[in-house]
Amino acid sequence: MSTVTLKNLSKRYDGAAAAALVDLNISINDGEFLVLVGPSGCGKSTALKMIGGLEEISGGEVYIGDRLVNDFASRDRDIAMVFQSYALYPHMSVYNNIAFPLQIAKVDRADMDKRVRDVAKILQLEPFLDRRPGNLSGGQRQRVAMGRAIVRRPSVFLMDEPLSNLDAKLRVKMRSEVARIQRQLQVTTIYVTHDQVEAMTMGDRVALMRDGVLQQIDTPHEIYHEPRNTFVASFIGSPAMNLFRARLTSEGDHMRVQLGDQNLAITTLTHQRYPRIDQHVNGEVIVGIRPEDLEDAALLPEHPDEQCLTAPISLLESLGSDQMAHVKLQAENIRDIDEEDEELMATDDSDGSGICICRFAAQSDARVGDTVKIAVACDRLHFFDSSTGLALRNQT
Amino acid sequence: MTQTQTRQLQRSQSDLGILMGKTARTLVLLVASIWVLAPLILMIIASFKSVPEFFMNPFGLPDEWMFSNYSRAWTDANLSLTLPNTIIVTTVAVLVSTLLSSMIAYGLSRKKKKYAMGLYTLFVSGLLVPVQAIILPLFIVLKAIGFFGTLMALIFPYIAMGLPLGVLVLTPIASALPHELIQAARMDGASEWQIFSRIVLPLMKPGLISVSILNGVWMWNEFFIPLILAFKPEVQTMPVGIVSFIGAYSTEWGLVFSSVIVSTLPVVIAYLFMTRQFQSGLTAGAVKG
Repeated sequence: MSTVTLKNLSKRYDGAAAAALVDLNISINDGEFLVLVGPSGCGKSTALKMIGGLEEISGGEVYIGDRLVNDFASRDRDIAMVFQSYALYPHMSVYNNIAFPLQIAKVDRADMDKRVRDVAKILQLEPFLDRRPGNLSGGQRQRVAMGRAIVRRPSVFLMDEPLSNLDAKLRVKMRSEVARIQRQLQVTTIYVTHDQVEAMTMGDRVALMRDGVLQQIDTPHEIYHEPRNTFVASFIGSPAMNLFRARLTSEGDHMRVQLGDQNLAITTLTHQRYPRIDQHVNGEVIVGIRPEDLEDAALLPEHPDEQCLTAPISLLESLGSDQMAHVKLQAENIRDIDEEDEELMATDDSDGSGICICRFAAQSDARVGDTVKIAVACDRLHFFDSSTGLALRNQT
Repeated sequence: MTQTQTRQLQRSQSDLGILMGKTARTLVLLVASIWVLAPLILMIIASFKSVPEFFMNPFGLPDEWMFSNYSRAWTDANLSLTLPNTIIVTTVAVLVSTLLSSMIAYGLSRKKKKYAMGLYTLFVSGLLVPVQAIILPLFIVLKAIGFFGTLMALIFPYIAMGLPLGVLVLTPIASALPHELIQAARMDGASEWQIFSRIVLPLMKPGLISVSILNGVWMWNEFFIPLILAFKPEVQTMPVGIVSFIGAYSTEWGLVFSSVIVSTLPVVIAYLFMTRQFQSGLTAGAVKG
């Protein structure tokens, strides 16, 4: 077990216009499960491979424990890696796949046998030890890859999207399995994924990356409830946070946010969380509202009027447990997305309205075409600078 | 005509088509088999004939089966010397050449394309060089380093001449190996040699078999190099030994054919025992597995 420290880690490929990784600084604690998450091409796998010694380091330092390992070969770093494709040796049995690192390390035969069988027991692979990887299911292959990593008892595990080749049901099962094994072994783990659900459920901390730059590193709770910028706010959460361009107004002590022709009161709690909104009074900001913070007001009769919006429902998706209502607000909708490679892209309709997704309880009687009153949990509003996209909090 | 009758007619027509197809296929295979087997059978029969009978009755069975042709071939044609020589030369040259080819192929597959392509072309262009063009410098070099008159004079050129084909066949196979397998082995603590010997080499097995077969067959039958470089009887190989029966005025055809049978026998036996490997080896690399 060991800490991992990255200092100004950078990567630039020959001939590439942009850097793949820019000054990544992360300290990973002993036994911690850190998830690196982000869209494709954000540099998360590059960072992982640099830690593993599979990719040359263009700049910066990698420490495992207190050893600077920049110039160490992979095999001298005391790490094990699980690959996206599992990278099992197809010509070897499951037993030999798991035993391979021990055979290389010339571990005594009896000890090796015991360790392989112990690992096979933990991963429920005992009946398959004589099979070749080609005769295993996806989930079993994934477990063999895990087995090969844990049999060595390394200081650090690196996992590169290990569950992405599994079907949805198996992925959920393996997610908890991997997390359980990590907690049991208490080995420092760096896990790369593009799946935010994996990131949120498995990690002690989540590091969200974009275009080679670390956007935020925090606990899943923090990263969800206190996003540092509009990209983090958009990326984490499904459906994504609703982001609108809005104006801040002030009447005496009361601040309001103006969304098109409607106003919402800003509560004291929200003001405390976002103190820098003071600087934007009578100016433009981006306001963020999570779908679960928008409820059918008919179900919350006590909810204050100044914390409600009214809008027509254009689409209603029932999920059984709740309903996703797509309502049209007279405000410019913003999404900080990567696919189009355009920052703060507006997704509003030509009439200046934007779609806002609300998560209504299953008991709601709202129908498509109805104009509904929506109760907004104004204590949980989020505010971002309209030009930089940064949260209007006192950031460190 | 009712619908049932039409359907029955269509079915019998399609049955007829299938039958004709099968017959045509069988005929083609039959002709091909005769094409291959007839000379072989004639050769086996001729190997038991005396010289006069060979000319008087070239296609019939011998009146007297001359088993002595084989014992004479073993002693007079020096088969007792040339057969072990051929086995040693071919085995060593095939093993070393295939191993070196696989190392080169793996090395090239892991290099950047712009560097690898030039080297790959250089190796493969060896296929275009006719042996007659290099025989004189080869003669001089082998004499200078003292290999002349030993089996090394055959083994070393064969190893070198086996490389172009080996590199040609094995490089695409090595390139197609998943990069993550190599990375995984590196992570598991394997050295570069261990990665090569324990991961890469076993995964290239079909290609290795293919290269061994293709190189082995021509090395076994190669005539020109031993003719020039191995004129001493004790280092001669079988093809050259057999030719010594063919004279300007008379030829001992019975001995020639019995020697040819003995020289083909190891390849035929190997084929019978390894039919599956031969087939998979020859098609290796043709289709991505």
